[in-house]
Amino acid sequence: MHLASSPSTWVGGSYLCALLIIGCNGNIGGSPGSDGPGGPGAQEQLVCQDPSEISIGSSPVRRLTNVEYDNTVRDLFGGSLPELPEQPSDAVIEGSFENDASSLGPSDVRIARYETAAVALGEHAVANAVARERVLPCDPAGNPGACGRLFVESFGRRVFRRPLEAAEVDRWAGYFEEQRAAIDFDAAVQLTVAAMLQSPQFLYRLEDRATTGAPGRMELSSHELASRLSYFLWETMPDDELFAAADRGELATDEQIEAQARRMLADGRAQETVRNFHRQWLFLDRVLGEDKLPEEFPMWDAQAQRSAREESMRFVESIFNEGGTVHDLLTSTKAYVDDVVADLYGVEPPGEPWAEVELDPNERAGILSRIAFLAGNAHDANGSPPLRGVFVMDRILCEPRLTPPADADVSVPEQDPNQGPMTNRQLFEQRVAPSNCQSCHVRIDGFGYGFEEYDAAGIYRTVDNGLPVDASGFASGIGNDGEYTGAVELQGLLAESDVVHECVVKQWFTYAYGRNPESADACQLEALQDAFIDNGGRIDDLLVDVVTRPEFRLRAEGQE
Amino acid sequence: MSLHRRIVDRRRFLTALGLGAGSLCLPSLRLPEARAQIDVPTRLLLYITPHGTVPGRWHMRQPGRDQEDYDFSLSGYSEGQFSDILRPLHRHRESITIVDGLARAVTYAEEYRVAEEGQSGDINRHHIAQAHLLTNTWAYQQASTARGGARSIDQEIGDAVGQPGRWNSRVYGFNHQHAYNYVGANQPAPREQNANTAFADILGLAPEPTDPNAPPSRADLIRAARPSALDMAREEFASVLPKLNAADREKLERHRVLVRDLEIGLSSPPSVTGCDPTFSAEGHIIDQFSRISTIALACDLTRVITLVTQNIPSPEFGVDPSIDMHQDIAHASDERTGTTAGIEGMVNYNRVYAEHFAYLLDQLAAVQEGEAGSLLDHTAAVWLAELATGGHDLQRTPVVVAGGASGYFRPGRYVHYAQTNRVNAAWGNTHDIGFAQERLFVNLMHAMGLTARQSFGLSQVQFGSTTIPLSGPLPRLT
Repeated sequence: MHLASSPSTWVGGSYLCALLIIGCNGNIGGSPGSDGPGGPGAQEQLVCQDPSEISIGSSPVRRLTNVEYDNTVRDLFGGSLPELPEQPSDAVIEGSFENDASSLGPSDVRIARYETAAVALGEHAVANAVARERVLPCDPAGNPGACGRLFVESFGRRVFRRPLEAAEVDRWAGYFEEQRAAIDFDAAVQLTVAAMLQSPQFLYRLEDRATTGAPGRMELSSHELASRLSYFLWETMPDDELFAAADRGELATDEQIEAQARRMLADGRAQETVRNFHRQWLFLDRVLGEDKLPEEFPMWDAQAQRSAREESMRFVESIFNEGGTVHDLLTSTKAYVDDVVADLYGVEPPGEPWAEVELDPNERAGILSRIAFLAGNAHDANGSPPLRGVFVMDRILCEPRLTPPADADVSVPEQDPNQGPMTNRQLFEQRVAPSNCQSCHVRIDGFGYGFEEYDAAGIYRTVDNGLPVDASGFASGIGNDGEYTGAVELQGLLAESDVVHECVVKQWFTYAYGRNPESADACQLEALQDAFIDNGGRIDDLLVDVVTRPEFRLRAEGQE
Repeated sequence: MSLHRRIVDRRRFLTALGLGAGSLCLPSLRLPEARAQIDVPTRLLLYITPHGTVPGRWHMRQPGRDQEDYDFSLSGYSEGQFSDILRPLHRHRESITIVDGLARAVTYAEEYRVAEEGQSGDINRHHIAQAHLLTNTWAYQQASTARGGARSIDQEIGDAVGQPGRWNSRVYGFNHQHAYNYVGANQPAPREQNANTAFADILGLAPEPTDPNAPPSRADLIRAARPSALDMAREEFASVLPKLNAADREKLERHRVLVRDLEIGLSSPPSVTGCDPTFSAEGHIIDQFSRISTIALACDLTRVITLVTQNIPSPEFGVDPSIDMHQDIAHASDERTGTTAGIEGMVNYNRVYAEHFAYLLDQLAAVQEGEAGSLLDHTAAVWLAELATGGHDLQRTPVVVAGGASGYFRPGRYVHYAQTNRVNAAWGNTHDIGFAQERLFVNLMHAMGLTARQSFGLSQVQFGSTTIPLSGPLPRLT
């Protein structure tokens, strides 16, 4: 497709939306699946050729994310940990999960910070009573050399997440003895802990002990599988029970894995994972730092931003805890509020934070009528239909991210003082009226206008600038396309959409595997999506389905 | 250990060595004269500003000579003869090379691939221009928007010239949208935007102070054993690496090298001599990073720095805070079609960056490195912009190379390149451009001692039958 003019000439208002003509499918110019630089295109079409075939996508080595590192050292040592240096962020850019293996590499700063942290944690292991109890399996008073060896075996097993081989025990026990001879027992513990915490066997999730299975694939060792389970469901190392199951070879059948997964999903660590996943999937951090005009939104401050984010996190957590579904996520009127959020929602302040309340079902239902989304996808004086509409397409429908033309007028449309009053919607309608804008905006705003019942801070309204709010829209490309009025109705449509359910599976799959779906994943994804829809969209069942798939126990062979 | 304590510790340590402010005359220290006798290293500093310039108010071209290569001395130029935007650099006119007429060939070419050759990808010019600026190669397009597709030039040079126990390179400041600096495809280099942390980091590799005459304490012994712990960890890579695929092996091999570097650094901590390592986090954040950069380069704690400037708030360049910088200023700054407010706002915006750049050059020039000259003489401080103009042009990019890079560059001149290379770019547009800006990195590699290198990133790009070379240094700069 060609344009009449290059982006460099688009200055002023005439051509502002021109690129959207070719950018609407998010795949500017190229055919889907065409190979981009260094590999397949960003938006590969996934088609399952043979549903009976087990096919494995790539299994990149994954460095522990900052969240995983913090959780893991918490579980390794216990007690109140010393202050550790802050690591460079894992987040490359909004829209990618922080556990994306391709971006999780080392850097000089990170290596230096690891060293500082490892030394501090080594000191903690001997100085803190709780940590010492957890790290040292014996009393060194009797036979310090033997105790050192026991420590190497037991701590090494936990820090490398698998039993050490005999040669490894010898090597680490040798190091321990060297340090004990040169300094003393505690110093040897401290330095051995520091060294192990800097080993690639700790910092990366290696799956190099898999054994050859059917052609083209490797079967994970039981301990590697335990780590896959724990880092997906808990974002931390396996606990003692999961370790024991791996030791006994009791992660071999679907039933055994499901039993472990169900046990783990009932644990608070799974709730943390669910919160962390939704924080990234739904850009819940975006509301932090979203300033609003103080004269119009005096109640909107940093505390309101934090409370709004927390409210959405508590909401998704409760949906998950109660065996909830995608439908619940998009239609539930339940909310957890503190005084700040209660004020924004117009409900009775609870006095004590995070009381459960029911919101007015005519005003709000579902995650997309919560403050975090609404205020996070808005400007400082009013809501933004394009931002909110693009969010739905990108995050909820898993469509390729739209790139606005280089010269798109992304400023906030303003009321012309020489015209009569206009609503926010009317201002945006005027902005995107040119036909070249419409080719994309008819769809974007078909979702975006549905949120016009909420202002910049997400407060419900029926009047905008003295005029009645028009929140009617048309949801397209969701399978059950249709007209609606308001975000409650829109989410009702989305809650019934197979496209939405398929997208939720894709998001969780990406999170579970630390990479985007690949063509080899097509059949697995399709099976997960079908099961998810058949199960009525239960989120906990989806997570169990992911880990009980045969592919979850395998990795691709022939890594070259 | 809290950051605050670390800084205090460092200062105490430096004071103990006699390196606090005002202590440079102590006879125990290596005097500036002594420094001249050792090899003074060449350093590189990249100063990056967002958007682009207003060409007519930036350039100082001679009328009627757009199709010629030429250069002229800036020595005799008065302040008034300097362009509106570059005027703050007048006091450094003997130390700068104003480079006029380069073009962003890779960015043109990525657009061409997508628009004309059926590749898929994000071609928002901000996104790809940021992804390309320091990588000189195709963007990483397997994600929601374009990001850097390979290691950036600062990492490449930094790893080549890095010294044990010192940082190979540093990145300070802010993202304009995406990162400019990458350690690998889609892996942004760590960037520090807190000045105090940045300062603590550059001095943080040295060990805690000890009295060399006292018998080692238990803590000293443990501290001395820290490299052995790293050594144990590093040895583990030997059994891990062979089992990995190429991409993972590259990543973990890089990790192993970094561990080895840190181990060497801990074993033989850098001696911080012949420089003034004092800093307080005062003044504009860009200037703070300029002072930290000066300390880091003067103390030879790194030799390569990227300073990504803050996108300065509107009031700092005389514009009402309600004005949208991107839309109302940058996009309205085209000299033919823009608004007066947009053009003047953009001129002021760029002039403020020029003032901060001049401040950086003040700092570098103030550090004498023996009789061989100043730190600025031994540095290439290069001002690069995200794009050529606020309207996203890619040709006639505004480039200033300050400093002599130890005699490699021949500063004090305005260098103009003829716009005689015709490119049939995307969407049927034709541009007559000068040399590819990407080739400047070949000069920088040569200046930094990587003299065998003839290209960085792509070695050429094609537009149909037209080829634009990206290899070989730019002529007439040396």
